[in-house]
Amino acid sequence: MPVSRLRFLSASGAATASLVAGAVQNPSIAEGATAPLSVAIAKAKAFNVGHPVEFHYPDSEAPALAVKIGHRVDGGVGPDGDIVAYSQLCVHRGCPVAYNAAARTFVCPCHYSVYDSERSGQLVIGHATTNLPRITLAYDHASDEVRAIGVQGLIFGRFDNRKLS
Amino acid sequence: MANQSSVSVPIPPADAQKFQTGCKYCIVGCGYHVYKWPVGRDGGRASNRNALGVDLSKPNTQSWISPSMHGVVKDADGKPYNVAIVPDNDCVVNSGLHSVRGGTMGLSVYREDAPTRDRLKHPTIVQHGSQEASWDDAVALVGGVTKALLDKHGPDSIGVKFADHGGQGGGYEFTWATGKFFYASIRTTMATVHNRPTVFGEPMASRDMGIPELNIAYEDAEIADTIVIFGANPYADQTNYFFNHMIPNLQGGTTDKKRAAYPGKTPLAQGRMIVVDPRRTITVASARAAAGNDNVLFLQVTPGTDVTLWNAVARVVLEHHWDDAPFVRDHVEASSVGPYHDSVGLGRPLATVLAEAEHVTGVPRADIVRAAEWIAKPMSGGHKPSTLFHYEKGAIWSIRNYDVIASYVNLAVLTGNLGKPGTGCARLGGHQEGYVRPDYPGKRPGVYVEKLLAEGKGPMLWWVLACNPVQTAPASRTVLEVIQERGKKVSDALDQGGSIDERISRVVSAVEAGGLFVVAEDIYPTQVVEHAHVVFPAATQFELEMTSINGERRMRLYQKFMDPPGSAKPDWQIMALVANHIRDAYVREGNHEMADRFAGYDWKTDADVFLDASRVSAQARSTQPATEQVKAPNAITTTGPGSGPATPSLPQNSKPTFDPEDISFLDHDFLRRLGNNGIQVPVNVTNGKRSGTVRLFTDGKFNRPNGRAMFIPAHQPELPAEIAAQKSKYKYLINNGRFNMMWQTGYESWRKPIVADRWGDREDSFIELHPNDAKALSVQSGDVVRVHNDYASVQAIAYVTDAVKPGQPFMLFAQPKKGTAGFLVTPYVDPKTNIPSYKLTYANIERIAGKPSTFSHVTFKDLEAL
Repeated sequence: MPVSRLRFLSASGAATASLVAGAVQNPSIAEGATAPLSVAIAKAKAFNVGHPVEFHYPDSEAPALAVKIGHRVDGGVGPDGDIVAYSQLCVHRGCPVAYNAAARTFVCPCHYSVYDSERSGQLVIGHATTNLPRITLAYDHASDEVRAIGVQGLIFGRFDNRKLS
Repeated sequence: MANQSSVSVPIPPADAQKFQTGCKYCIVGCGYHVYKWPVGRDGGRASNRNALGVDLSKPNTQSWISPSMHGVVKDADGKPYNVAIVPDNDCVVNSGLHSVRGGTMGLSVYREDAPTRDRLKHPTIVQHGSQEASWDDAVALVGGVTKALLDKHGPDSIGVKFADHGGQGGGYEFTWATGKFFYASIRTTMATVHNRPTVFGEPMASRDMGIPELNIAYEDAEIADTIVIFGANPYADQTNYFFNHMIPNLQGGTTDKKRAAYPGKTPLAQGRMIVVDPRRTITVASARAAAGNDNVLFLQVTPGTDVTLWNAVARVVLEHHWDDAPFVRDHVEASSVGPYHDSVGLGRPLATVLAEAEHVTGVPRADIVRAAEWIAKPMSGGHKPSTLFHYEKGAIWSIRNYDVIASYVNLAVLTGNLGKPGTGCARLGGHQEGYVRPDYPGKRPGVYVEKLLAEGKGPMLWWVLACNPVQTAPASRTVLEVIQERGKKVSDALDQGGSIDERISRVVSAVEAGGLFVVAEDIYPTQVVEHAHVVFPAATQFELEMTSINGERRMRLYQKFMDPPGSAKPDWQIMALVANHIRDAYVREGNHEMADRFAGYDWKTDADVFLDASRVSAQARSTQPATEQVKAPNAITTTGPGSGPATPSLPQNSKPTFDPEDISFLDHDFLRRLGNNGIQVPVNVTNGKRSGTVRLFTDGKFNRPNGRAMFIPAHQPELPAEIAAQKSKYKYLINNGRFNMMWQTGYESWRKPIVADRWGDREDSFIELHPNDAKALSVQSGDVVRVHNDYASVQAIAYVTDAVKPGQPFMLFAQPKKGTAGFLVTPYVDPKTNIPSYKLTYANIERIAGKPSTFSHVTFKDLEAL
């Protein structure tokens, strides 16, 4: 299994070119960052195991959940390496997923797609056609701050992950 | 992992080409739109600059194109085009929903830079391995051998195993052309269908009772008070019938429809669901999550005891007089009533019957009684509940197919749940349907060709067409052995090369000496293709114009929007090439009688093939009484050449038919205009106007000579000897079934990165094990186990879950290559129907290795729990 490369929000050259044309009619798109967008979520010590923290990334229309799983996982951050984050929008029809702390899965209440929070949002079973997009996190020891810095996979409802507004 | 890491999809421009299609896969047949535009000519975010017509500066929640819906194809012009295959919000079947199967069709298109790159592109002929050959040579070799065998050894020296359905790998054009070739031109009885050793249907008992099995409308699941799901897992396998029609009812969201259908009746606040399965499926879990535990009754039945269960439910119904006596009096064969009552133990005390049923089935008697109540006990206001009965492979592939189906359909007859809104007794279905073929020349229950082949008998040429019996036959390892061992004699003959005529002579000599000439017609290199002597590459859905019906008989035209790879052709063209070759040879010999048998293949387009079939359907319908139009293969007599006008001529008023797959009065142009909602067949003509059929039996008439349905008494069968022999030696009852990501044999699913990734890039079955069994075997999820019995030894990946009962592991049906569950299945078939008992075999299990490294990232969370 080739490990998914971390993809940051920076627009590629091609995307930037098409953005120029689009900017005339959609000025908000011109906000699309050309550098990685970094958004603070919370201090790591503010996380309780199994209780997700809501935030938005990369913009106010992109809800996401960060959760402290309780044991170290690939890509987990924080002092215990166990904080992960995902888009909250189910990639089936865009319903907000809920965290099942016992199973450590995200479950969609609309059509019951299930994603594994410990396995990069892998689809356990369901109707989604990709895994749940994962929000790449960074952790700063000095400030204990957990930040969102990128997205792996395409957020539901979007043609790319650039900031909308 | 393009679909996993993609961070963008291109936007279809406003002038993108737009096509209509349906999902390739399950019977539900969700509607899809296809957008196609040249690579590099993407649209913009403004609503007038994209084909979706929506403002893409905001999240697009209604018509999102996920990365798995997008692909890049190259047409014969060599230019790259984007295609986006997106669920249709306006299709009444799915209302914009997609399953994981249909929603990933963008990954299924042929492309040189993706796992679909190994599509079959050109014919091959064996000569020291498979060598690319011209169509002329491949057709001449197959046509020459076919004619030689037909002349010398008769029709039954030529055998076929072929798909008989709609959707991918099928369609009415496919079934008509292939059926015409083998039944009307060759006239062989050595024919079996893709998944069973017969050409006859799977629920023959239902048909004998006068109840063709596709008799409902999906809307009935919105109107029913109780939905019974027997041996099926619709969350996974009929996904959007479940989510767009059943779940809204269970959630109480369809009350208006219930009131409209039954104005005087007070509907329940929420519909109820009964699920009967040996395994606690995700259908149970999701129905409970949607409707609450009180509205879902799960009967975890012991495999093979279904007849006892349904007879006991009927016994409870009769005890309380919850049967529909007026319906039975007016619409059921009177002579069948007494024997049926006897068979369910009406003369015995209820308590005795229930005690026995609990013991045999493992279902608590209180739950048996509750099932009877939900099915038939009058509700407040005194109205009988409308109950919709569904079933699929857990019923069909149990032991004694005929009796199991009869015991279940009897209950629908007893309670009068047929022909009215919210009722019916229907298969949920697997693939889509699309059957139109001339008469099969043989008799019920058909010929068990695979068994004959294994015994060194049967046909000398075996044409395997759009299916893979190595993965889907009873004791299927023997199929592989046959084509390897008997096929080798023919391979040796072909290795000598020579002219086509010389090779024909050598092949004929080889098959007369016990060899088997294997012809494969397919889209991917299956195990059969790998061992076939001649391979014809076929075109498939998206690459041709085809028609198909779904589980409510909704007929649609699926448009062509890309070219097939290489020189691959639609199956009807391949049949026509071979038929015309044989006809020309008979003409040269002056044998006009035989030349005429191979005439009528002068179709120019997909639409011509359909019209030929439609015209023959209409002729049969106009000349036969409706009650004799039993669903094929007994239905239709072929006629001569298919030339004629481009549209069918309509009568002023049509005769009725009971054939749920009848295609009279239809043509491609008409269907194209009807779009993704199509029309529900059979079509009737009244005063020159065509209309569809929402559900069957609305006039109270059933498909028997006097129009009455009949009961078929059924008794609990013994475990067949072949299965009992395995039970005496091996510890675990091995069940098998489907997983929602995987379509049928996995021929396309495994080529989708999201599926391959989910299963560690290994084409294995998983085996669900109860934690107690896992502990006893020292097995953890992800470990490799060996599953073995007298028939085979296969590998599987352990998946530990309490969704299965202890001692009753569950494997994935039809999965290659190290874990084909079919290898373990006994050769037993129900003698009345030739339907196998795929669901029931016994084997031992041993751990052979820890979790393979490719599974390090793979989840093993419960597949059935929410």
